[in-house]
Amino acid sequence: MNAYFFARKIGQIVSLILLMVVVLYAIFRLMPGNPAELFLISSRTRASTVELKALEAQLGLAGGKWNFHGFLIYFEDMLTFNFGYDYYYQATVWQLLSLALPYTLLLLGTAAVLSYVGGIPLGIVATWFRGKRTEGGIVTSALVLNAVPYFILAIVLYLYFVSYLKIAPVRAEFPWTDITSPSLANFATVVTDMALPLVTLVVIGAAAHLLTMRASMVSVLGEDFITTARAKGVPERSIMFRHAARNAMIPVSTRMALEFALLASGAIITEIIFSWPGIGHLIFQAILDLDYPLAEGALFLISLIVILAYGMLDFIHAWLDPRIQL
Amino acid sequence: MAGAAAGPPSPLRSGPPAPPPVLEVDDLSVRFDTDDGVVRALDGVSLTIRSGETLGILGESGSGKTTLAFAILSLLPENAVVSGTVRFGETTVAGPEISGRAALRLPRRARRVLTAKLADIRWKGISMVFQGSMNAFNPVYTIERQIAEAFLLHTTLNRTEIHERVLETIRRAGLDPVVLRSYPHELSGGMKQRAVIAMALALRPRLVIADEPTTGLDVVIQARLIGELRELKRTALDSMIVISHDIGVVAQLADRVAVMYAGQILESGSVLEIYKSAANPYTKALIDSYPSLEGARHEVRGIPGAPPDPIAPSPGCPFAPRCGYAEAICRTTPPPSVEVEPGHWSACHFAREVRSGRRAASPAPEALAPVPPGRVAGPPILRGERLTKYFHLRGTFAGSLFGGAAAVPLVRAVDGIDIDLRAGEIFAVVGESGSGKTTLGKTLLRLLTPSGGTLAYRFPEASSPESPRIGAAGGGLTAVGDLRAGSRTFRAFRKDTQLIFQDPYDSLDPKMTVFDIVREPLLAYRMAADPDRVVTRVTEALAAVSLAPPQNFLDRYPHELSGGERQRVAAARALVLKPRILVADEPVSMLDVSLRIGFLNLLEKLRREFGMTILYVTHDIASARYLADRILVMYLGVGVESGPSQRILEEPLHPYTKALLQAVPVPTADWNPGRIEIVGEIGNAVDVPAGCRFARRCPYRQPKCAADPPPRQSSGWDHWYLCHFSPEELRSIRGSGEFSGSPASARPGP
Repeated sequence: MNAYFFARKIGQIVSLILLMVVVLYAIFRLMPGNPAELFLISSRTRASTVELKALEAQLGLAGGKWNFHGFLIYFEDMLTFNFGYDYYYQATVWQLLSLALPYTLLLLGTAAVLSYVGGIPLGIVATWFRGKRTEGGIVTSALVLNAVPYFILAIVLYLYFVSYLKIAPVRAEFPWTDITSPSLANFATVVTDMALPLVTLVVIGAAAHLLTMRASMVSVLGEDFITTARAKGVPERSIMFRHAARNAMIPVSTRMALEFALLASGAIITEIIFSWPGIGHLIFQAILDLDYPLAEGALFLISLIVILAYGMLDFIHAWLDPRIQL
Repeated sequence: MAGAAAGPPSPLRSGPPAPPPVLEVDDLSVRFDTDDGVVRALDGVSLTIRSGETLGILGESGSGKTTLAFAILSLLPENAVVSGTVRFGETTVAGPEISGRAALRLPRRARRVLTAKLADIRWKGISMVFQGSMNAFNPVYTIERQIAEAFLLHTTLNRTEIHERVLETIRRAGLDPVVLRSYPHELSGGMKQRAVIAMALALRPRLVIADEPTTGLDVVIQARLIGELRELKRTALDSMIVISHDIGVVAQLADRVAVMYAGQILESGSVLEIYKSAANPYTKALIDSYPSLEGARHEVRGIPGAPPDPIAPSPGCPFAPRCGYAEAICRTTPPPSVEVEPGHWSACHFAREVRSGRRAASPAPEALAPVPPGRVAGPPILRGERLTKYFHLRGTFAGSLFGGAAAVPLVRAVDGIDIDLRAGEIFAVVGESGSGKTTLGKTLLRLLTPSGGTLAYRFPEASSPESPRIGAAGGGLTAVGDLRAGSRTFRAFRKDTQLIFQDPYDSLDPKMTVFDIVREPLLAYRMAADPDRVVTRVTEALAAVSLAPPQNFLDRYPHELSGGERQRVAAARALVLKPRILVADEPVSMLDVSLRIGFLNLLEKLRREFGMTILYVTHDIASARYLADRILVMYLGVGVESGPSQRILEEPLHPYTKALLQAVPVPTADWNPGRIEIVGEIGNAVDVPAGCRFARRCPYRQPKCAADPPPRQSSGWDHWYLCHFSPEELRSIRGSGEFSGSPASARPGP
């Protein structure tokens, strides 16, 4: 672990964040439409040019969508976490985000942990049964699930459990106090509300981890040191879990961050379908409304989480593999 | 093939006054069911190992020696079908009912009992030193944890006791206890192999199986390890099986030898008996395949053909298609096992005649008497002067920030080499891994751009490259060291120089046919306009490397070829442009012993027929001696001795050359690895000593050796070496190791 490594790592993260801020500025302005016009259309049938100019000035859009001075202000605000005031919700973006962020973190975090905890041991189990019918079953279903997009599974689950069986809530409505002051009843509400979005994310995420882990395990089991362990009389279970699994985790952990980014995008889609009051839901609405401040702020936050998760990867790597020196 | 019942009578049962058998292998056959068909890995193998005895198993790849080791450890995979038995003491560890596929069908309880029984025998009864020690340790755990695991599994000792025992184990193997806290990647090859041996001996098992225990190690370390294993044999080992393809290694460690071929034991007997009076054509051919040092330049012949296909065995003797003695009967009837001497068995129809020499072999088609050395010596064709190649290591941020350029670690892979290749000669560069020999080869071909020095090439008279010629000393040579990569002169140089890589498995694109592979250089030099001409040239190239008939190879893919054939295809690819210089980088080290000489003879043939200049890069000084006219010995980026190969062999002056020559294991009783006085390992080329690079390991070192770089001294025509001592001084200390002054005391390597 040395200063060079840290400096390089921090440099990478910082430049990635700066790049992301620029991309966020551009990406919304590339979308067709003018936010001020849209805003006025939603309130009245027809807006005069004078009104339009006045509103643009009020919203900080004077000088058009593309405007260098505006960009500089935006750039500074982003880096100081000042996301501005939202003209639709009449609240600061921070207020909106701070209401939604806990829900997203709850869903995303639980889904990430559960998919690793479920997928990786299942991958080991599939290797354990290699060559048998059990393995074929596990791998085939994992392949199918891995190929299903998040939104398909989410819609199927929604139609069956919400529309047909009517045993799941139409939307998650538990207040955040259910989490902060846990009781059995509160916990039950949270679980029912969260079940379907969580299942969507975990099933698909775990299938991906399972497949990577199994492939990695199979190649590690061919290594000489596994034969050495067998010759030493190490029981097969210890060979799998102690000798092979940790080595097999090294390539899997490389994919972890990648999978996390996928999971984050999946979470956004899932939130929309299940009306989960998280950031994904906010982003969706903000994009439809051309609500620049909210969309930029929300995406900034999500991207930041993913970038920082990437940054953690090297430390996980170094912990798993002594050959890697930080 | 001989059925299980009619197999050869147990050839390895030795005389009556013997200690009790530790291991008995009785008529063992192992087949593997694969998608391609049934592979017969072992075919009626019987042998006995008694307490206190070391059995050597000699065989090439595919001979079934590793399958035999796995059967003994009951580690056969699930697709194995076993007949015959392996008994360890009273316990049956492999047999038709319990091994391979049969084990899967056992009732659950019987399987559990069996697993428990086998788990108890593994390591405690039989342990193993694995081939390729590089990967024998789990990379993510410390050495201590992995040795301790053996104690945890098989003893009831507590943590402190285990720690004590692990310490004792590692000390017995001659290692510093600090290695216990290391991870495998932090140890050098030699240290790792010692740790592997220590782990195998940890529980003091009755039988240790050493599968290629020294393969892949440098020759000096190999010799040292053989010495240590011989010492352990006296003190710590009961009985041992040494498996190797190297007759020298087997001869130095084993009491008795079994020679395996195609899953059968073709000959067995005492080491001396086998080596001096082999009674089997295969053994004879294998021994003849070794370029030996003392046999001077005797005609070494390879074994023609390739090892048999294990899927489609022939009805007669498995060696018959490659055998120089074979008659009609050999191809139809399996040979009986004949006891030619008490305890010396040979499975051959003509065992007695072969042994007595009354039957002569018909000459093998690839046999080729090499030219006496030094006969060809044209003008220099490629010359490197003070040639250097440095690699920069990425250092620490703080170091590069505050230390300036000096703090950036520099690997001095090639550090001021003077080399002159003369037209039409075979020049060998010899050194351990890490000596920079491969980098030198690549730098000479400008595959790497030299960091310093000059590199000059003599273009053929016809071409007229417009580029500056170096002065009078250059004598018609053109500097190519700093040519732009795209220039015409450079392309002409590149076309004249080609390379053959070490690993024929990695150097050929598996998705291309032989024709595509060999044609590719023609495409690269836009010489493929006329399709008929291309086919002709490819066919010619294949014919030149003795792939006959070439038409049969054009449409085949690399995976359909044997290792020897692949390396010939790689050679054909190099030859298709009709280069003038060929660099062969360890071309035979991945090939089977019986195929190596065939390839070396091919290089000789190319030199003779096409007048090619060949740079042969190798770690094996014996093969360099066999093939090359001149030798350069490299150590840590510098040349330490160079001269005609005859002279280097007869009168090595540099202590390192001497050690290299002594370290070649030979199958004679008086070979003594203890005579090698150099210590430690080669280290790396980052922190090179200010004085003599070899000083740290040199048995004769004096204070001035570490302080001043040694001068280059000449010892007669064309022979020089890099040392502070005069030839007379070095001659006076030859062999004895005594020297006026204080000889350096041996100390363990850094």
